[in-house]
Amino acid sequence: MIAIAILLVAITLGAVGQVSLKHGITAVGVVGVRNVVRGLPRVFGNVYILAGVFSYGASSVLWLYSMTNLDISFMHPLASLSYVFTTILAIILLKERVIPMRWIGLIMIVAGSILIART
Amino acid sequence: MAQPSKRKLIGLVLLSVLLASSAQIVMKSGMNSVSSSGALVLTSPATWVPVFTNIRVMGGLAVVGCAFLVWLGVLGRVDVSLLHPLAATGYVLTAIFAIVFLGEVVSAIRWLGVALIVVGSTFVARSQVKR
Repeated sequence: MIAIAILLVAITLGAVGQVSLKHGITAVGVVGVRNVVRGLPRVFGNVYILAGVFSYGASSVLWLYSMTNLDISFMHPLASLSYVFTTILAIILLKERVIPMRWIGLIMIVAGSILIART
Repeated sequence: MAQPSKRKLIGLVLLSVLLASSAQIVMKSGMNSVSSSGALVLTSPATWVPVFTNIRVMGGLAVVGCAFLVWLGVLGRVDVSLLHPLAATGYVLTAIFAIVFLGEVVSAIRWLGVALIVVGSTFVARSQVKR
């Protein structure tokens, strides 16, 4: 049970990092892989991107820790719960629009995650 | 520079998904060998030395880092709530790789859960609001 709790914290931190990165990269305004590489100093000078990277780092350490207790075929699909967290954060913080079809998809993801958590 | 098409961007995302799945398997195999030689304690950095000196764990993290740069490149142009679901296709890959390379046992219920997640993610991906 504690193993699953730690995994959920790792997944949540990943979602927070994702939204923070999205906000930061939009603010910096560089698009395209080539431009990101060229604009690295500007990209990593943005506080939201730094916070996102830190959040990702913490998430990675907890993810590795979870690997010592859980199957990867158990862990990886559960990472999809981050879509749910990310969508909620994206609505609140990034003001993205979410239509009902997306909610149906998210509910299926949660149902699938519950099934896996029981295995 | 010509703007890359949406299809090209999605292709990039899928490539990073394939890389990420492979990296998970390599990292997990590294962590399996690390944890077989001693328990990890979250609050004790010393127990983490074998993790951060393990070639498979570090190699896997490096690949994840590359996939991360690809993410950064596409994040500014596609909604995160669309990007994430595409990664779901990777769970099927991960499960197959885990069976073949790590000898994990994936029960029917677990496959059902994976299938629900992939279908749900397709719904999410198709719900992208046109701009």
